[in-house]
Amino acid sequence: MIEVRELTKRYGNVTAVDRLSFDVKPGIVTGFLGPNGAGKSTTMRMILGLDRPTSGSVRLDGKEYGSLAAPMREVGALLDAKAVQGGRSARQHLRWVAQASRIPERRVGEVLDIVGVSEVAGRKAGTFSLGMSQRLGIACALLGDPRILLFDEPVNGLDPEGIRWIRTLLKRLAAEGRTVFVSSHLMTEMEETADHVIVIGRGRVVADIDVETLRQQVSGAQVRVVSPQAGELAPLLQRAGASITHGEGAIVVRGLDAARISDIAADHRIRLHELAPYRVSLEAAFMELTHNTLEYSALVREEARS
Amino acid sequence: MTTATSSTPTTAPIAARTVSTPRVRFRDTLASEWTKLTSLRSTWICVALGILLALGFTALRSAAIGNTWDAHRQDMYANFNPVTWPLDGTLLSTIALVVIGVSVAAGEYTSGMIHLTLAATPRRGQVLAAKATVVAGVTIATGLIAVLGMFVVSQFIYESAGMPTASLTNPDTVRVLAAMSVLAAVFPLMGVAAGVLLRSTAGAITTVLALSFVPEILGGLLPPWWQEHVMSVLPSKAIAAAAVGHIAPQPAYHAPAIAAVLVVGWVAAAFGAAYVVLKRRDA
Ligand SMILES: Nc1ncnc2c1ncn2[C@@H]1O[C@H](COP(=O)(O)OP(=O)(O)OP(=O)(O)O)[C@@H](O)[C@H]1O
Ligand SMILES: [Mg+2]
Repeated sequence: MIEVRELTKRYGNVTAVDRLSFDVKPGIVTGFLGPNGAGKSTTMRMILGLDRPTSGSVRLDGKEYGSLAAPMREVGALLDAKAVQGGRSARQHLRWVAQASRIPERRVGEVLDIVGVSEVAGRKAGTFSLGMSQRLGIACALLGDPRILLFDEPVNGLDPEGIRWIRTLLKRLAAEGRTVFVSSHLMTEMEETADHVIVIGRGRVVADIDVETLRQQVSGAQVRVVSPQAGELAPLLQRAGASITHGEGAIVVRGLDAARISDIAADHRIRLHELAPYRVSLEAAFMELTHNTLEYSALVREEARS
Repeated sequence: MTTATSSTPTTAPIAARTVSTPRVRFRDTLASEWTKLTSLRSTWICVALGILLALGFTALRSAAIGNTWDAHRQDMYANFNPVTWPLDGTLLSTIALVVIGVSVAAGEYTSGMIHLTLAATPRRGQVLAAKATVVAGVTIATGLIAVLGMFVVSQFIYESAGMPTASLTNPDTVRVLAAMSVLAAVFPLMGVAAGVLLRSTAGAITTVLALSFVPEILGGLLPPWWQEHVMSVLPSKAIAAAAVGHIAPQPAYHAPAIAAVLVVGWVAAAFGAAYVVLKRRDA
C-alpha cells in the first residue's frame, strides 16, 4: 500500500507535482497515467525518498521510505533502465545492489532467470539494448522480493513479445498480493494490464478510477444514429433529455440508450438506417481527461459520488 | 535473447517471504561499494597507472641525477636526500588516484545510477562514508606499492651511480614511506567529496588536480611571506610537510604535527560540505 498525501514538488517556479493525494492498493496493478511532463517520474522519485517533497508525505505500508530497515527488500523500483554504469556486467551490477540491501547473492541468479537475461549476464551492461536494459532494471526491482513495486515506463523500448511478457509479469506480481504501481503515458499500454488508473495532468490528479468503471463510462454512454430524417429526430431526442452532436452523416446521442431512441423514432414514424453504440476508446477518453478540464472535473465528481 | 518462460516462477509467493527484514548495516554498504569499485576495469587501470607512472618518473629522474651527479653534487644536488627525492613520482600517481576517487562519486551522477544507490541506502551519510572507506583502502594500498617501488628502484640506481643511499631499516625512512603511503589517499578522498559536490567527473578532476598542482607550480615563485602563510596551508604542502618535514624542512612547511592537522582539516572540510549537500539536495 502506498499512501500519497498532498504531495507537492516545486523546482524553482515550476510546480511539477501539485498537492497530489492517492492510494495505491495491494493485489492489483495500478496504472499511473499522464502526458509527458505531468509529474509521474517526479512523484516516483519522491516515493523513493530521492527527491525531497516541497510539502506533503508518502507512506509505504505505513512507513516512511527513509525509515525502512532494508528498503529494497520492501520496495523495488525501476526508474530509468539506462541509469546503469556501462562498464560492469549485468551480474556484477545486481551483485552490488544485493549486497547493499543485504539480499543473499543466490537471488542474483534467480532474478536473472526470471527476466531472461541469464545468458548475457556476463556482458557489460553498457552493451545492452534498451529492451535488455529494461529487463535488467526489472531484475533489480525484483531482487529484494519486495511487497511494493514501482515501474516508471517499463514498457518503453520493449518489442511486442517483451510487452506481453511484462504485462503477464505485472499481473502475476499483483496476484501474489503485491502493490504494483506502473507509469505510462499511453492508455493503450495500461488498459489491458491495469485494474485501476490514476491519471495526472500538470501535477494534479485528474482521475482516480477503476479501469472497468472508466470503460463503462466512456462506452455505451453514446449512440450513433443515422437517419434520413435526422433533422426531425434531433429535437425530439433533445426534448427527451438527450444531448446531440452532429457528426458526418450521423448524429451522436448522449443520455438516451438505443432502445429509447428507437422507440421515439418509431412513435414519430422516423426511419432509422443505423443505430449503434458509439465506442470511445479508453485512449480517447484519456486524451479527453488530460486535455479537457471540464470533462475531467466531471469524471472526478462522478467517481467521488460512486 | 531468450524471453522469460512462463514456466519459471516469477518470485516466491508472498507468503513464503521471511517475515523479519534484517536491517542494512554499514558493512553491507561497504561491501557493495567495494564490489562497485573493483568490478570496473577503469579502477584497475588507474591503480596500474598510479604505480607505473610513479616508478617510471622516479627511475628516469634518478638515472638523470646519477648521470650528472659528479658534475653537480656541490650545487644543484647540494641538498640531495636519498629518502625524499625519489618520492616526487607521487605527483604523477596522484593524477591516476584522483580519477578513482572522483569516479566513485561523480561517475554515479553522470550515469544516473546514484538513484539506485540512494534508493538501496537512504542513509546518505552511510553511502558517503562507505565510498570514502573503499577509496582510502585502494589508494593507500596503491600508494604503499608505489612508494616502496620508487624507494627500492631509486636506491638501486643511486648505488650504481656511487651516490648516497638510504636504508629501509632506518626509522626515519620508514616513517617517511609510511606517511607518504597513507597520504596518497588525501587527494583521491577530496576527489570523492568534489564528485559529490560538483556531480561532474571532468569538473571534479580539474578542481582537485588544480588544488594539488598549482602550489607546486607557483610555490617556488612566490615571496617568502606567501610561502609561509598561504602555500603552507594548502593541502599539497601540508602533505609534504607531514611526511618529510622532519628530515627536509622548507619555508612552506609547517611542523609535521601541525601539517597533519591541516591535512585532516582539509579532508574533513571537504567531506563536511559533501555530506551537507548530499543530504539536502535532490538525488
Ligand atoms: N530536477 C528537475 N529540475 C527542474 N524541473 C524538473 C526536474 N525534474 C522534473 N522537472 C519538471 O517537472 C515536470 C514533471 O516532470 P516529470 O519528469 O516528473 O514528468 P513525467 O510525467 O515523468 O514525464 P514523462 O512522461 O516525459 O516521463 C516537468 O515540467 C519537468 O520539466
Ligand atoms: Mg517520466
